[in-house]
Amino acid sequence: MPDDNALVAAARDGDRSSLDLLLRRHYDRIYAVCRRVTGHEADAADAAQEAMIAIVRGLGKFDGRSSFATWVYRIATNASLDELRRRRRRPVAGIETAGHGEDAPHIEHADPDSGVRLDALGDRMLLDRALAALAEDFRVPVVLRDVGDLDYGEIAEILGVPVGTVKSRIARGRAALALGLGRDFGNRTDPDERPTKTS
Amino acid sequence: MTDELDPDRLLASAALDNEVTPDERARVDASDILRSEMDAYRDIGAELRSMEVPAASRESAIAAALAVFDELAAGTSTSIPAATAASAPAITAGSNVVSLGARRQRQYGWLTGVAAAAVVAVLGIAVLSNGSGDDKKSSATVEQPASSAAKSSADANAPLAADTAASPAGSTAAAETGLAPDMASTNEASGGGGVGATTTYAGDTTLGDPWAGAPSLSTEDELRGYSASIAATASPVPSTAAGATDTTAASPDTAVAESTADTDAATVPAIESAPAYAVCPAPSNGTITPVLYRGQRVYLVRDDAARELRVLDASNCALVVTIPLD
Repeated sequence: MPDDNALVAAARDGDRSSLDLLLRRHYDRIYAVCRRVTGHEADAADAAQEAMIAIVRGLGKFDGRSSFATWVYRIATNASLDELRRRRRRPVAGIETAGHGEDAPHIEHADPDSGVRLDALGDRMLLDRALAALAEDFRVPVVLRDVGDLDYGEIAEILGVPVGTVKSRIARGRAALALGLGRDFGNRTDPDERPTKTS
Repeated sequence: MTDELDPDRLLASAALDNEVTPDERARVDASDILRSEMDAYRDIGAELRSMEVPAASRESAIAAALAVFDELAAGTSTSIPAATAASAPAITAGSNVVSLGARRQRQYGWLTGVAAAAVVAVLGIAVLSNGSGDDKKSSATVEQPASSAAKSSADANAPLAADTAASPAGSTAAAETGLAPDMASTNEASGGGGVGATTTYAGDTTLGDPWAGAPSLSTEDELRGYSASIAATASPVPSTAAGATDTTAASPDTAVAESTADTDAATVPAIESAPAYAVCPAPSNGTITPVLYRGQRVYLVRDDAARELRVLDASNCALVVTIPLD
């Protein structure tokens, strides 16, 4: 199976099927990064689509100095943050999920598995809430590490911060996330210093 | 918030990512607490990765990206060589491409109703609280904007896109949708030439959103067709024309990248408050008009002297693409 660089080269030469393969290879993780950064399915789909288009438009500028994955996740991260900013400009009525049909919990008839499903749904909502409570500076590096599987150096490159800062932010972000999910370890973090949103 | 962090916590996190020295690794291995903390972080990471990716979103995004590739391959833009033009299959009307503008329209269109209701309520309260002996005059003052708001709400999801020409009633309704009342009447009075000099409305939110009712176009052929229809009905770049677009003249039937199922693609980007848009230079011999291109707010500049169309990013006038007219 051709590697990313080979597919990029072929796509630049006009091979549509190589581009298709390249995009399919990366879409799911791009979407996952967008989903976790934006915290919303529809916004993630929009951001992921923006990212895919930006990748195609920028293919000629990709110089190969960083890995294709790093380049792609930088685009996806920016698209996600742009989407978040757009969302902030939109008026919001009611609770966060109001009006977002895809995320709205559906009421189903009781069946033997309903308890399991509700637990899973509750877990997902709890995870989304805990992530949403994290400030962007902490959420993005955690997502790039745990979802994008990028190393600290790649994340530092994407965010334009030193590796030490990435290391610290990931640790703090994870600690806050664990706390938000009720998985604290002796509560060593001063609650006033948790990396959560201030607003 | 400071950058201070419990060193042990930093260690557990870094160990999970193999970003520790052998000594630090040994410390983590020797501590039950650190190991359990590391395990918990690992579990959280697995939860973060665990999700279903909607197949429809995947196919839509890839189709949209490939449509852009095909556009680039057609030779009018940078990055992808024109050599691909011959090999790239044409995007058909049935392609699974959904513009972001259309998707956002669907997602947030319902809020238009809420906004309209709020406007009606606020105006109603204002009328009641200002109620003097001149009741008749008060209601007459309120009636027009209130009904405009209601109409806007009702029409917010009216489909436009490629069906516009075939459905003049619907397109007229949609054209009215996002326009401030005074803007709509200006457009109507001027025959709806659709030519807008940006200087007249840039930054002037009282005129409404210039992209309200603007056609949503996806291909260069659509841009050419639309520009030709504008040029045929307008004198070159009037200095005081309103920015509204006459959608009855819009959207040639050659919808390409937009899905046929996505008929609301050209409608107003629903609820986003009208963003700031830049004053872009108008050509001395041509037209400039707001359109939605691939879901983005842009100005379509027709420069008859240079015999080219220029698509400018509405936020900063940056050149998106140049398209030869001939």
